[in-house]
Formats: sequence, structure tokens, C-alpha cells
Amino acid sequence: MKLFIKKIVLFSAIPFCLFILLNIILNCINNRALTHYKSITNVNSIFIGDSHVQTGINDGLLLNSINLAVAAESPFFSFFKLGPILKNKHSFKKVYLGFSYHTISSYFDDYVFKKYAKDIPAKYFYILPLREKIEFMRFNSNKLSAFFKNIFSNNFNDILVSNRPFSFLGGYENKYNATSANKESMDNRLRHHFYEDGKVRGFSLININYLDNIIDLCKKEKVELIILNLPVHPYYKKGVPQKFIEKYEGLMKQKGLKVVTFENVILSDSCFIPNGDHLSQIGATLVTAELNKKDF
Amino acid sequence: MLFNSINFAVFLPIVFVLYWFITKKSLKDQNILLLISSYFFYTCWDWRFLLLLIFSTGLDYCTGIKISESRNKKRRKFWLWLSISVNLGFLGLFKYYDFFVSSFAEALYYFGLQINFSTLKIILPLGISFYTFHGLSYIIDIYKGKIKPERNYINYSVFVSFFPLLVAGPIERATHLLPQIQKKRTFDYTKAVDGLRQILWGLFKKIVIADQCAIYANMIFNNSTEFSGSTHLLGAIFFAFQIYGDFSGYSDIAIGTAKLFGIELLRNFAFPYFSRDIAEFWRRWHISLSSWFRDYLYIPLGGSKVRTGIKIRNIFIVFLVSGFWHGANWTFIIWGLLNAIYILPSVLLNTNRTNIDIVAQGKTLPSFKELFSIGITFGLVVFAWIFFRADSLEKAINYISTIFSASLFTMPTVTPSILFGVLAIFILIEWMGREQQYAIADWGLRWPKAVRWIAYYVIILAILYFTGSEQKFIYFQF
Repeated sequence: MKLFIKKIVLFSAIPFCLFILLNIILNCINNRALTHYKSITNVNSIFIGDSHVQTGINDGLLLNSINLAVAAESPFFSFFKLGPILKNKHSFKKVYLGFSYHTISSYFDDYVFKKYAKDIPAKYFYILPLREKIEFMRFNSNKLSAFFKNIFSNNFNDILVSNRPFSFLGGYENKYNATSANKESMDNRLRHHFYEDGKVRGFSLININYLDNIIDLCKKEKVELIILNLPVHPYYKKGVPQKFIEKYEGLMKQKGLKVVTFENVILSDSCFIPNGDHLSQIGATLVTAELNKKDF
Repeated sequence: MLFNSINFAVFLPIVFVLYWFITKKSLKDQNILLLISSYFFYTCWDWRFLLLLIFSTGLDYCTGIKISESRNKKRRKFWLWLSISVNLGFLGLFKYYDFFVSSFAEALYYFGLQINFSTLKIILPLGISFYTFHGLSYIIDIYKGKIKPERNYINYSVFVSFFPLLVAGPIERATHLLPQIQKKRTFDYTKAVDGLRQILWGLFKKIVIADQCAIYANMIFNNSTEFSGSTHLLGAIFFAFQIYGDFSGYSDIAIGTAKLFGIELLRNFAFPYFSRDIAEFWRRWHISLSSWFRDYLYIPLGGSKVRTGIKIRNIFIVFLVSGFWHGANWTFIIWGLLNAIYILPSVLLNTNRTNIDIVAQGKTLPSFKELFSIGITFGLVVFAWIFFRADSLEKAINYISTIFSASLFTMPTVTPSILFGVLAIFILIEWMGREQQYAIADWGLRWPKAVRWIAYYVIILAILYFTGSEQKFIYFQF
């Protein structure tokens, strides 16, 4: 019996030690990649947020700025990304946070602790503080191996396959050059964003809380926080339930945030992708140019 | 609590440690622990049906004693039939009531009568088909005087409810399992290591083979109008590997787990896809059920030592009941019927025991004739699986007609290259290990420790890599 237990322990100890070692190495690599941005002295402005910012702001057209937005990134992850970047010495003056009506919808919680809890958090795992790491492991306890498989395959891709920087760092990416908004697709998108089982969704408390955390972080690090409410197709905008518009405006007012909107820019159907809430390449160029005029 | 879940990975070591450290000195303590663990394991699925399990156990325990104590033949028969009818009554109520009611209503509708019968829409208690058959074999064996009744209620309850076999078998016999439960188990290092190895191989079959094949089999079967004949054929082959990996994987985990507690369970699979004819396939597929039907249905009906007409009737009865045992759906009945038709010629020509040895025993490769026979048998089995998998007879027929269309000769549109590679490696390992109880059983003897451990780590990595698309064990629904 003792021999059996001894062998089991030894058999498990080898991969366990390798697993711990691999995690330590990946932790170092990921965090070094994140803090690397502090050493870029000519960058003043950071763009952060989800796919709306990732596809909508072409940082190649702006001076001294960098787009770090990633698809499906909620303010929860933006906060933990910004923390190490803004900590201690840095050259940043402004943080542009993509925050729109859909950001405060409870559908976004799926990307943090719900439906996609083993997928999206896997991208950010190593840059999260220990408490959040444990929280995600606990939440994924039933599919822990699938969670770690996602973590490792993300890192494997980032380090060995992809020629881009780490996937959690994001960057401008827009593949849509000949598209047009489409009513059916916009209806689907509206349903996805704001409705569940035919009823209007609630608000995302996680995202609203972490907006507060980002505000506090920017204040502490003496960086100006600007909210980017990127344009959506008028048909989509009309379909957004009133409670989300009111809540959004109330939040911005209550927290005294500077919000950049693009209501004066005339955007045709071809400036959007079919779902009407993301900009196409043409739209991104126009919106970035407008932002350049407005705020730079 | 699935065998491939974290919960089971926590539950098993706890019971193992308690069993070998706390209760090792007393048989009574060992069995009480096994019973409590088994009931806990069962309540993790649905606590409401625990009462049914306890009732069924109590009934068979009492009727077993009554049969044995009755001097009068009539009384013995009474107690036998009481147990059989109550056991089958529960099975019929939970599993078949809705099927019979809706089929009867459909038949009346066909004759112009429209009557609305209400169906019960009750949930099927997990493992009921398996523990009912455990109990029945015990009662029938007592009646036939093959065994004496177990007078210790705990021992008998462990026989019925032992957690590795509780929900999906193997269907044990009292003659095989009860003597092991009546004896104090002592720790056997070789058996425990063998058990772990078999669990590992079972997990590989379930997670890497079955669950990956399920992704494509489900996609093709659920959207069959969108795919060509060649893709349909591929879908049926994927399902064949899914059901084999799923059920034989489950059986390996169950048998391996039992070995950790010093208990040997009946073998349930013996490389059935390497069979050279259908009779051999049925000696190698779900062995514990096939042999149950042989001993408690086919032989009592007269078996094969009767005139031809009766022999044919017996074969059809056994396979139809076997199909029906799997579920209350016409698809299972047709599946059983097809298998009866497949096996009939060999039984009538008395060639059903031609291939009783292991294919290409002692050789590396099979002969061309053996390979051809394996291919034909596999083809027939895959064809029958289409009925087993399809949701309805109509869907099965449509599926088959698409296979036998011109689009059979086009390239399949679903070609998961990683899965093809994994299946090729799997078939190779199974072929190499076909003379063992399970494919990797002799790794412990053949290879030096370092090589062996690396091989185990590779299997574990494959399991971890493919985790994430877990499907429930198919046989849990039966």
C-alpha cells in the first residue's frame, strides 16, 4: 500500500512540478510583455476596450497613440491590463476607454464569469492578480483542464506561432473593406446585446463597478480618462432599449466623465459591418480622422 | 457525478483512502463504507430515486430468502414471479409506459379512432435497467438452485449498488460478485496498478475517442440534409467509434475502479470491431448483457437445441428484447431486428462458433481473408448503428438513402484530420493489445518504467488536450 501511494505521488509530482514551472515562466513572459509599453516614451494616448475600439480606431493614423483594444474585452480585464501599464513611471497622458450602451448590458457578463469563463479569461490569466486567478480557477473547477488548455494554447500561439504581440494586448484590426450594414444582422445583434428570452436584459454590475475602478486608477496615476462612444448605425441606435440609453447617460453625468461621440460625422451604410455596431475600414478611417481633429 | 468529472476525481481517492486505511481490518466496515459511498454516488444524480433502488434491493433480498426457505414448489414460483413482476413492472412503468401509450394511441388513430391518452413524462431513474437485471439474475439463480440467498443485507446491497457498476454496468452475476463481497479484501499492489491503468485507458477512450467523434457524428446526424452521402457514411463510422469509446471506456473505468477496491468485475468488451462475423461481434460487445440474455432468456426458451422454427423464433425474441432494453423507440427495435437477421444464417448453418479465438493470434497482421471479414462485419455493424443513433425511423431511412445516393462518390465535406490521426493511433494500439483484457494491459510487463511512464504521460496529455467537449455517457440513458 505504501509503495502504491509513493509511486502515485512520484508519478503525479513530475508533471505537477513541470506544470508549476511552466506557469511561472509564462507568468513572467506575459507580465514583461505588458509592462513593455511603459518604455515607449513617445506614446501619450492609450486606446482600450473591446472589438468596437479594436476595429474602430486606426492608431496608425494618430500620432503618439497605441490601440490596445481586444475583442470581447470587458472593463474588468481592461482594468487589470491598465494597472501594470500605468503603475510607477510612464509617459501616458490620456486613456481612451471604449464604453457604450452594450457595455452596460448583462450580456457582457458572459465574457467574464459566465458562458465564456473558460475562454476569454484564459487570454488574460497571467496578468491577473492572484486573487482573480484563484477566482477564475474556482469558477472553472468543473472544466479546469479545458481552462488551462485554453491558457496554454493561447500562450503557445502568442509565443511560437503568431507574429503579433500577446493576444491580450490587442491592436487595431479590421478586415471589413467592402461591407454594408444589414437590417437582419442588426436585429440579431440587438437581440444578442439587449434581450434574453424575449425580455430586456439587466445591467452588467461587473462592468459598471470596474468603470469606477478604472476612473480611480486613472485619477491615482494622474492620467486623463476619456470615454469613447463609437458610432453605431442609426437603425441599431434606434433599437437600443431606452433604459440602456438613460442608464448610460446617467452614469457618464454622475461620474463627470468626458465622452467623445461622433454624431456630426456622416457615416453611410458602407462605414459599418453588417451588424451595424462595428465600423468597417472606411468607417474606422473617417472616425479616426474625426477624433484626430477633435481631441488630438 | 460523471466518471470523467472533477467531482469523481475527488470522491474516488477519498473512498479509496478510507477503505484501505480506516476499514481495512473488518469486512463489515469495508462493505458499509462501500454501501454508503455507493448511495452517496447515486444521490449525486438524483436523490429521489434512491428510495426506488433501496426498495428494489429490499424486495429481491426478501424474495431470495423466501424462495430458498419455501419447500412448496408453488410457493417458490410465487415468490419468483412476485420479484420478476415488481422489478419488470417498475422498469416498464419508468421506461416503457409512455412508449406503449403513445404507440397504442397512434395505432388507434390509424384505424380512425382518436383518443387522447395522457403520458406520464417521468424521468428514467438512472441505472434502473442495470440494477433490475442484477436483481433478476440473483433471484432466478436462487430459484434454479445455483446459489444460496445472501442473508447479510449489507452484502446484498453492495452487490446491487456497488458504485462503479451501479449506473451502466457491467451487469454482474451473483455467482461472480457476491463471493468477492463476502470475503475481506486485502490490498493487492499489482491489481491496483492494473486498475489505474485501465481507468486511464477508459478515460482516453471516452474523452479522446468518443467525445471527439461525438462532435462530428452529432453534427452530421443532426443536420443530415446538408451533407453528402460520403459525409453521411463518415458520420455513421464516427458514431460507431463514439459508442464504442463511450461504453467500453465507461466499462474500463468501472472495472478499473473496482480493482482499486480489490474487486474484479465481469469483462464487458473484447475488441468487438476486430470480429470476423456477427456472432463473434456479439460475443465481444456488451458481453455482460449478451450473456445475461443468453442465460436468462435464450437458453430458457430452448436455445439452439430445438427445431429450426423455434430456433429462429428464439433468436428474434432475444434480439428484439435486447433492442427494446436499450430504449422505448422503434429505432432500437429495428436495430435489434437487423442484428437478428445478421446472425440468423450463422446460427442455422451452425457456423456461429467458427471464430471463437482471437483474430490473427500471435501474428502482427491479419490475413487478407481475416481483414475482409473484419471489414464486412464492421460495415454491417455500422449500418445497424444508424438506426440506433437516429431519432426516428424516418430519419434513419433518409440517412441511409443519402448514403446510397450518387453523392457517396464525392469527397466528404467533414474531414477532421486530427481526429483521423487519433483514430488511426487508437486502432493500432487496440490491435496490438487485442490479446489482453484491455489494449494497454501488458504495458506494465513489456516496457521499462521510464518508457511506460512517458507513454502514460502522453495519454494523460491527450486526455487533457481533448477535454472540454464532454458528453454524457450514452448508456446512462438506458
